[in-house]
Amino acid sequence: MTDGRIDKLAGALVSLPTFTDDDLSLRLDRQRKHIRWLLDQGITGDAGILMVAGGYGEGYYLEDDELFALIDTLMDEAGGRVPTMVGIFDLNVRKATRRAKYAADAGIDFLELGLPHYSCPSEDDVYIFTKHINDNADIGIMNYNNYWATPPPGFEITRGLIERMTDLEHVVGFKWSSASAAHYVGILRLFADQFAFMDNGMANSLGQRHGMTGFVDFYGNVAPRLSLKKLELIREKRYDELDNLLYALHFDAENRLNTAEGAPAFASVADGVFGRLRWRLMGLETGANFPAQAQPSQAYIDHTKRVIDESGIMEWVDWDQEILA
Amino acid sequence: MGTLRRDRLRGSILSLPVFTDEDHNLLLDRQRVHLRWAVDQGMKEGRAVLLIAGGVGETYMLEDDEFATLAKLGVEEARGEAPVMVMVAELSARAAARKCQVAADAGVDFVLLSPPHYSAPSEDDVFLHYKYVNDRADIGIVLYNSYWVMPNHYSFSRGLLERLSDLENVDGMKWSAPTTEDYLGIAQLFGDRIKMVQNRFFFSMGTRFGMTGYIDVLGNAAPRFSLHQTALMEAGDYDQLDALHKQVRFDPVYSPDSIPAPKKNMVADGPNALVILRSMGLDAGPPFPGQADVTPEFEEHIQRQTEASGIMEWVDWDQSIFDDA
Repeated sequence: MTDGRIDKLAGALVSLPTFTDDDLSLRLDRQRKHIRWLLDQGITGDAGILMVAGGYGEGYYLEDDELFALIDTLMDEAGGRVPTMVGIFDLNVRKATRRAKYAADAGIDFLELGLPHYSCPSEDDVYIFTKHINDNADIGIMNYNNYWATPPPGFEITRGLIERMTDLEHVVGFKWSSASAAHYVGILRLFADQFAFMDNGMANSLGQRHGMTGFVDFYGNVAPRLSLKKLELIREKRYDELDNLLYALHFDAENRLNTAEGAPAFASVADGVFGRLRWRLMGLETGANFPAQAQPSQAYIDHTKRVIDESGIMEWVDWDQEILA
Repeated sequence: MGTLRRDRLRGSILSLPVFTDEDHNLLLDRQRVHLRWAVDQGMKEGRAVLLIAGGVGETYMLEDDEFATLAKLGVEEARGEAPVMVMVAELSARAAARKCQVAADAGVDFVLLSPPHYSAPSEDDVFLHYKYVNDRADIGIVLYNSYWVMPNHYSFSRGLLERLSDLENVDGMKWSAPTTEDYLGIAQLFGDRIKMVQNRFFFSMGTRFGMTGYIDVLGNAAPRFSLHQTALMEAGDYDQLDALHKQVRFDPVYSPDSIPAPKKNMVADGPNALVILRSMGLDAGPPFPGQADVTPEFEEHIQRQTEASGIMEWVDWDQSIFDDA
């Protein structure tokens, strides 16, 4: 890895929603206003990265022209003011590369690159897939260890694979979580001095204590003040305070939603349904999900609202939908 | 109309390779020659359906224009003598519906439509995906229970199939299941409502329980074998079918003389299928990029397995057919 962009892969990686109307047309006017607001709130410079078409932005569901419009909008509004990223989740490497080249030509700094999967990939499959993009698009690559999306027997990014990726010029980091705490920490111990690791979830300070450079940020879309506070604690290595903050907020919404007493069952094929619902409950209306994803029951919605209200997160929310008016 | 259309799902569902050169350009001249050769050997309506851009044809790796070209070519070369099918495997219901409409406009009869998956889908997610396509493209839908690619091994339930089989355009299902009870039980329950296509033709078991078709790779080089199987199925000559399968030991796992395969995950079907066909004398070109090709050890294994199976006595394909065309 010789890509100088690695130093920019740090801070709060804000995964932006994709604003749509009821006909599923993109609302780029709203997208622009939301991006401007985030910049105005301080998500600029080295404070973070803005990502379009990530999981919460329903990147999996976007047509080429929609993806390209989002890239252009992001660059128009934020290019040069904050590092930028686009999510790519294609199995077809030629399509993934075409999209990566568009992003690179537009000036986007990074890709979030999901693991290719239909059946479960081999290590060679993942390496060759990544290498093809590395060799054909001049853009920093953040590989995404989305192991839970691979079918049985399952695949996680391994030590051996990361060692091979040190030869790939544009691979600068990993969006990192693991099914195993030992693997989660062990990989950081081995590679945090060579790659930038972004914590996927950040339920506690463990990853930051072991050299991670930032965190994937869902709540920053409505609560950038909280993102900046967390970043301050990380950069000043005030990890105990970070743990206390995360614990006080019950920030690990995934676990709370799934384990809190009385939680109604709900699963979804992708992240977008959860994302739009939670944003909506925090005051950010982003529009309809792309089809054809099942929507949660009213009981699940009520439960989610209760968890959010009890968490204390709303004290950090500065977003007001009137900003889009 | 639906009833008439689904009755055409009989015999070999011949999953054709996509012919490419070393640069992954489609070799449409070869595609036409091979397809016509298969039809001329007798792979016609009542005995076969031509599946172009299926799993063997690496549909997951095709660009949209290539998919459209292949769909059109399939209809042109089938010349009304055999039904034509394509496969669509998209997480985005919009993308799936768009491709299905392209195929329908080209005159394709059926689509083998994969359920959506990124994370594990809910039953509602699966139903809504199929319904979205059902409501927007006039093409016969063949459901695909690809449970092994689901992160949680999700397999279509009786309840889901009750809902899906009521959709107007659902004509059939490519079927295998995690358990024998499920495999045969569902075939019994739904065989009179939709046509059941065996995904793994394993002796006469599925046929005895009313399944009318089977996914066919070998027929690309050995259509005489496929036609003989189909004739035995149609005649209800199950004992002869069992004897044939026992004699031609093509099952790589359960034949007495089988050779254990080197273990390796593969992200999709293409490399494996292409090497099987190559072992039978049909070279369709390299797999699409971004995925690991088979190892020399694995290719050698397939070659030995093919030779030991006895299938070569049924192979009528000769690569020089391309030279003579």
